[in-house]
Amino acid sequence: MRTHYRVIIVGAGTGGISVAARLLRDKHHLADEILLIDPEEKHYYQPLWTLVGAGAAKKEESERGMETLIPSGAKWLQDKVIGFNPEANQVETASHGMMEYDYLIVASGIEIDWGRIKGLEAALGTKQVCSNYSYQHVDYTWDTLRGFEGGTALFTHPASPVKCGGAPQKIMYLAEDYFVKTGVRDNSKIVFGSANPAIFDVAKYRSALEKVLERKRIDTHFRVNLIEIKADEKTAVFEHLDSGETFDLHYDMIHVTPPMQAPAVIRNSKLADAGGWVDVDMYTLQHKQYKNIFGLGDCTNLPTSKTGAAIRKQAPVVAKNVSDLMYGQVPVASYDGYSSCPIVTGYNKLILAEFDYEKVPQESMPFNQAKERHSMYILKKDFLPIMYWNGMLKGTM
Amino acid sequence: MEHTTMNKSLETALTRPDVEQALVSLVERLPEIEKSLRRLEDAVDFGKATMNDQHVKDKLDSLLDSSNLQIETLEAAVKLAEKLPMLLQMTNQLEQVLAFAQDVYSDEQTRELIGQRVDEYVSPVKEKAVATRTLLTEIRDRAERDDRQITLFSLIRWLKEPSVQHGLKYMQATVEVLSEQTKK
Repeated sequence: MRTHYRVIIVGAGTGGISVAARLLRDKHHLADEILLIDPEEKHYYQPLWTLVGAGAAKKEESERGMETLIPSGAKWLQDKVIGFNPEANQVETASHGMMEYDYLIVASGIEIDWGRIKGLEAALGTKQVCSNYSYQHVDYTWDTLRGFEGGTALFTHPASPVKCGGAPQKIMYLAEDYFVKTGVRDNSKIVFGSANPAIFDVAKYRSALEKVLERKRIDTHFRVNLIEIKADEKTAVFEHLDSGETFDLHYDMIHVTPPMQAPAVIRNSKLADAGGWVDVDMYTLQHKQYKNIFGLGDCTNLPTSKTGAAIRKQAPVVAKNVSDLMYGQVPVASYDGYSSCPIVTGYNKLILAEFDYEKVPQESMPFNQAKERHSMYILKKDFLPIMYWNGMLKGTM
Repeated sequence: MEHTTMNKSLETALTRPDVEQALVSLVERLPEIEKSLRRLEDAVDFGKATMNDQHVKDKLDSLLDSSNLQIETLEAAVKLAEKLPMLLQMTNQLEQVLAFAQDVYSDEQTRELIGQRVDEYVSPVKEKAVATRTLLTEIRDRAERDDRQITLFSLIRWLKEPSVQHGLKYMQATVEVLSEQTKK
């Protein structure tokens, strides 16, 4: 079996496939020289799960077979990377031994730590405990919303980086809209328990979302972290992040956004920073210590929101810089921290937040994107999936 | 004095292992370098000979005379060359748009998705149109079937209908508002 490739990409998710497609579009001679390593058989367009959980899309639309997405010219090794040896330019796989590379791109995503909240794993998918962060359980969110007859609907945001930081509140806005439609809103209370200090980081969108919270009469608790679920008693235990004190909240349904972390194989490797994330230069995305290694996406320590939209802007930078380095040039392509969050605020409304490292809005549309718009909802629901499957994963968008 | 210093620094440089290794490698590659230089010399000689050949010159002149090349052509070529970076950028963008369109067209799952979405938007409009047409057909059929005489009593009974009352109230309100505005 061949064990050396010019470029090895760890992870065939959004970042890995996008970069592979871009490299192959730009440099045809790299055909058969790029190896993607990923153990998964299926690839998911996860942004759709918000709508799936609210009954506005089918979850099957978010799933495609991995083999249909691997760019022509790249090879896919269905295996798990279990170690990195950057000094020897090698990655270790679970079933195929050591693989050698000239250039390594790490795009292995983020790991969900369901076990960090006591009682969550056992209760998930039962007793009105739901989460959109799992393909397996996302349907249960919709079942829970449909079965809700009033009382307290609780939504949480954990004290860790998460993929798509807006998702914990999107499902809450959709749920509120649904409860109004079904007539249970008047006898229900909606509560948001978030570890963040405010509803959104970027001032312009924060101000717009605070109005949404007020209009929808949603109670907010900031700087609190869910640490336990007592599903039989329908009680959520929170810790106050500033005082360390704990308190209980009764709920009739709870949507949990689980804590997340860098994958163990990265945390335990020489590629990681103190927090466990791939330690890359925030502009060139080149590893700070190993110059033939690049990183992108959720597994990196880039100080911006972990979203697919961010990866859309990171992928061309990585592809250009790897390509330049390959031909003896200094990698100068630069990523400005762009990230985007289409915040669904109801079944036909959306605020399209776009911003950079400085938390300055970087809007693509010629109008104020902090305003809730039906057109932007259509963009998210109907156009972004097509842009993803047929543009981004093909290296053209 | 200066000469001695220079010699010393040269000696120091020559004793460096990387310099020594480079010199050895250079000496080893000398035959290859010599060959390359000879080939380059041949090429230059060939170029010179060609340029001095009257027959070649005449042929080139005749080719230029019989072509449509003018000074404007050269000027245009230079201007076009200046625009090449921008044209390249546009071509790249166009190429990406075409690749995207081609991929959408050839992707069965995406075509299916687009079909479903179009149905989602079109279905309510279609259903409304069908409902309106059914309503109009029903009204027309009933009117054609009805051979009763419309009497004053029928008209009075109509007046009690909530939809007629609603319409009349609108008319009344309109008349009142218009009348008030005229007085002002």
